[in-house]
Amino acid sequence: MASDAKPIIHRGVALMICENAAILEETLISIDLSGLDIQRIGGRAIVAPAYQLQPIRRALQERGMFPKLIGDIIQPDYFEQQDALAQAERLAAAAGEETSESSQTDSTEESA
Amino acid sequence: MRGQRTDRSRGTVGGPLETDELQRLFERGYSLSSKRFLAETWGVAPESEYDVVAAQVNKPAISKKRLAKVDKLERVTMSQVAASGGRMRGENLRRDLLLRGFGDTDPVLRALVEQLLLIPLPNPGESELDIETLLEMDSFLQRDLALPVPLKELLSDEAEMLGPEAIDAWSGDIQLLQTTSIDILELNLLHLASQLQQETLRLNIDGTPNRRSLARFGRGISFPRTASPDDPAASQQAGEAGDSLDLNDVFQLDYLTFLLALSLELGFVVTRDQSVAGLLEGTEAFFLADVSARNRLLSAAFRGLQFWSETESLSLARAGGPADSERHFSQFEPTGEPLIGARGYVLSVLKRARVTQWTPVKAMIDLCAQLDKNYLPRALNKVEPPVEARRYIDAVLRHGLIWLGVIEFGLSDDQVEMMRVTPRGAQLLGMKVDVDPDALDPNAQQDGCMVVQPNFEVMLFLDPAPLEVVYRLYEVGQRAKLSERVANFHLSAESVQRGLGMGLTADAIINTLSTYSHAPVPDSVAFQIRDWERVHRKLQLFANGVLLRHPDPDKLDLLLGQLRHAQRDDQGNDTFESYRLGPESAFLACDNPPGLEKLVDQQDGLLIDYLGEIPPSLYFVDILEVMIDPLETDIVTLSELDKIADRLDDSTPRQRFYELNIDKIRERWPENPLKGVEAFFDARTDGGLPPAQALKFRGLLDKPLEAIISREVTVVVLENAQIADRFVEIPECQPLIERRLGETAFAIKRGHEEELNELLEELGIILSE
Repeated sequence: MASDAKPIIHRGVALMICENAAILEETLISIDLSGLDIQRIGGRAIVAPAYQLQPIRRALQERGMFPKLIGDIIQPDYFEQQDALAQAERLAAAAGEETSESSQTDSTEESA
Repeated sequence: MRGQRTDRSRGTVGGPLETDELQRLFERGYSLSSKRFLAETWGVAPESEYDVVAAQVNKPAISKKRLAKVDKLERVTMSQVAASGGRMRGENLRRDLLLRGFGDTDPVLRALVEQLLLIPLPNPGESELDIETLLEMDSFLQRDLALPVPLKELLSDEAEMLGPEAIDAWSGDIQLLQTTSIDILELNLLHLASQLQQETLRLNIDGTPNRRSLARFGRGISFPRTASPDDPAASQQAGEAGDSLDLNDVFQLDYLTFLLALSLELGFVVTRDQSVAGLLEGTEAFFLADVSARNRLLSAAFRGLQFWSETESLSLARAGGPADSERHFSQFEPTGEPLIGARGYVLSVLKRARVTQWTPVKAMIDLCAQLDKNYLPRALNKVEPPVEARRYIDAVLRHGLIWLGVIEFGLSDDQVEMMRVTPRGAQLLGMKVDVDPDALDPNAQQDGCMVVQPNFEVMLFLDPAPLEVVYRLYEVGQRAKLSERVANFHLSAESVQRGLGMGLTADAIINTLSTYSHAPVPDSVAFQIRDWERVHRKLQLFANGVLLRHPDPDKLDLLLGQLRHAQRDDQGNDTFESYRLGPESAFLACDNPPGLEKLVDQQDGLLIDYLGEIPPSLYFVDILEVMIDPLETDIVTLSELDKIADRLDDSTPRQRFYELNIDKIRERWPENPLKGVEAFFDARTDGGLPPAQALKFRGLLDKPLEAIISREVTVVVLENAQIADRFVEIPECQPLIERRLGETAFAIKRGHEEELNELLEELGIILSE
């Protein structure tokens, strides 16, 4: 083993784990995941970025599979939502600055 | 119609004030000044003995003489006391007079106490009561007020005869106008919460529900009906809205907003960014609770409504226009929050008034407005736009308490608008209600309330079904139809596996169906439910966790142990949950396990956060040739490389080489392959896409790049950019210039050097080599 080996941590990952390798094979054959970024880990699991879980679920559901789901789903439009939120915050901050500037101007005028 | 008055002597103890009792009170309860006051008022000397004064107060002739002098309203007030047995708590007397439509009777009550026609009595155990002080402090309403025996007898007969028009209207034939029930409300809440657990409700930017999204939930809702007196049948619940759902109808949109707001307070749903999602825990806790606990939760949730306002609701309904009040329907605007205090006050008045009999609506509004005259204006002073107290009471009765199922409205046969508290509403308000021994216990098991059919349809009869059973069916079935009081559910692979995902088992589902089914559950249905459970167990999904990898399996074990330790609480309890996926990989079922950041720092680990920025992992080793370490590369990059490149044979487990394939790149980003490939490599290469690779992509994906080599070229360099700009504008210069080189230089066309020299000389520009 290389001495410089270090741990690699993937955060924000969704996991689909099957009872055994045969079920995973069977499942992957029956559903279409070609448009998604998935990676097989070991014999009975696949991982994907958490925001891609919904399409995986949908593909399973189309085949009549409604597996147990643990945890809160990250929506596919997660990054758009984050951008919108950041934009809204920027706008709110800009509006706040404008208000404080105008109130400062008012108070300066008043004191003058 | 003259109504039959019911006995309204609630809270009354004892009858009229008899001579013996008065004499005893003189000895123990009253002060001497009270005795003197009574003696003077009833026409005997102040210093008279106790028995003389007591006898005087109870002389029929005196009472008759004094009664002849009172006005009509005073007489009605005394009649009310007489009808209640001759003695009443002052507050109750005032409340009952308000309820009977007499309005504010404070001055009348005061006048009667001043004349001692209504005599304030000492509280049990009290001594030295001074009636004049009581009047000065205006606290006589907190005492029992009693009539002397002759007055009670004189007024008993006319108690039924006296009173304003309102008295005549409080019983008789009542036509129900608006009615719903708490049972229907609970079914609506359950339906909404169940749907929201399966699919989120999208919200617009301003927080109003997206109409298309809301329509999917609204179709199964049973809206309260308003009956016209001409069409009594319309007052009955006709089942779910279905195709009659119209979200342009302000009433329907408003009722759905009310349900959403109530669900939020009850913990059935949660607002996340631009959506509303269902919560399993809160929903389960409510629907598995017994009826009294549900009553308490509903009452608290209604008082605390934040995202729905009854005053705006009433304004919208009265305006009759389109449902366009964005603020009212927004799930971000707590329009109902300033009304929480006022709402609680009206509920408490309703509880104290105990109007389980038909009462004029106007009288109820009077009662709420008058009972504590200062409270409502004070509670409403923060509301914007301002709302007047009586208008608020009207709103909370018409748009809120009716929808909650606590009260119902009716119309008397002489056209007076009436209301009363429903039996379940009385329990919700916390009134003490007599339990009907023959009534069904709503929590009791009701066998035979459903029929399970071989085609996976379950027909549920709502009236005998305990709410827990309805909830269980929602967990494992999809409600297909609701008509009158029968709901049809369909069991499918999806719905049953959803229930299994909530923690149910096939045996528990079959057991519930068997217990409540009129006939045994068909074998085919039981078999299929077990088979669905078998399929369900095969797969498990984790929405958001951490994948931990290390090339050394032993080291990975140590790291897992370190994280497990970090997650242990003070008592040593271990909630750590990890799944070993292979020798080098493990999955942690937690989005941010404690100790993870520390581990990354200590071990110099590589953190790849898919919800943040992905670290660069890709190296160009030659033109259109890249190298990665598969272990250190994120899933998206690995997956994309397989789509746009060919893996080369000389790869090793920790060094994988790819040759980029231009055809595959075009296929991957058909709209704009150059933009796509640049964005992809820019983000994943340390320092961005190398310029040589960028030029290569441009040449291959956009158009071939061209270059010209010029030899024996004359270049003229001017002093600065401004002079160069002027120079190029001279018409004689333009035919001489081959191209501009930067800001200050020009390449001159071959064979035009002489002309250039002449021009420069003419312009007075000195040439230097």
